[in-house]
Amino acid sequence: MPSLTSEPDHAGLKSEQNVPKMAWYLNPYLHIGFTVILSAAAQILFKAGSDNTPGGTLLGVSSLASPAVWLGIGCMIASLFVWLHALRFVPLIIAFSLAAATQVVVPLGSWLFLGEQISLVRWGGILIVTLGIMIIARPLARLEERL
Amino acid sequence: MTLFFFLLLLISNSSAIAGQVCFKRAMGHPAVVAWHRRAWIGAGLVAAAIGFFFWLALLPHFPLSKIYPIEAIDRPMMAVAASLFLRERLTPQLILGIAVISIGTALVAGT
Repeated sequence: MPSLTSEPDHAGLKSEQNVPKMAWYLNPYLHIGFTVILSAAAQILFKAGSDNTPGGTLLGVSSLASPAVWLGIGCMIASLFVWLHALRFVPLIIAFSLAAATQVVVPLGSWLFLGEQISLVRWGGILIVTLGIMIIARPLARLEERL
Repeated sequence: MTLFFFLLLLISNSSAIAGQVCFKRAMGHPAVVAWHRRAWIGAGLVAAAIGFFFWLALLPHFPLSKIYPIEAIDRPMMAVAASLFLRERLTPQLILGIAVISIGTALVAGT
């Protein structure tokens, strides 16, 4: 694994020498995407799993009987690993802001898979979060193109 | 919401953010020795766990829609933490994006 001497420069877009050449599947931004999908999947699995188990009092321990909850825990652990890989190459503040996509994917997932209703205000919020992510992602996309 | 509970929320958020800073320290530094990396990841997991348990302790006291919008200050707090502790650069574009995301998050979480 190549080591970095400094972080990619978000503003100047002139740090191509800092972004090592790597196979497409190692692209850190792809891994941020994996993190988002895995942690959203975990939330939806937790919800689906705990809905099917009797309500416990002690921090929902009874949910541990559900296979969906365990699958969710697996997704959570996997998301930590891909996240750590992404942090190797991407400044934390950028990675963390892009990970806000989870705020979009979780409601969409609970709408699609759990049949939950989304209010108009919430759709508006989802749209605004997406817009914010695009503002941050655009200079990054240009940086990628130059490689 | 009393000041006391607000402080607990702040502790929960700060711990989660401290955890992320530790993770970045573990992965991002150019010359991390293997055991340093493991120590930073361990510290990050501990900090994240503390944040999580504070959150769990708070949850029963309030309806989720009352406290979840606090998630909206996550990213601004992270911006401050990353520039203070990791010396990451904040660009106007990044600040604008974070502001827009936070407004959206407050709308998604608060309704």
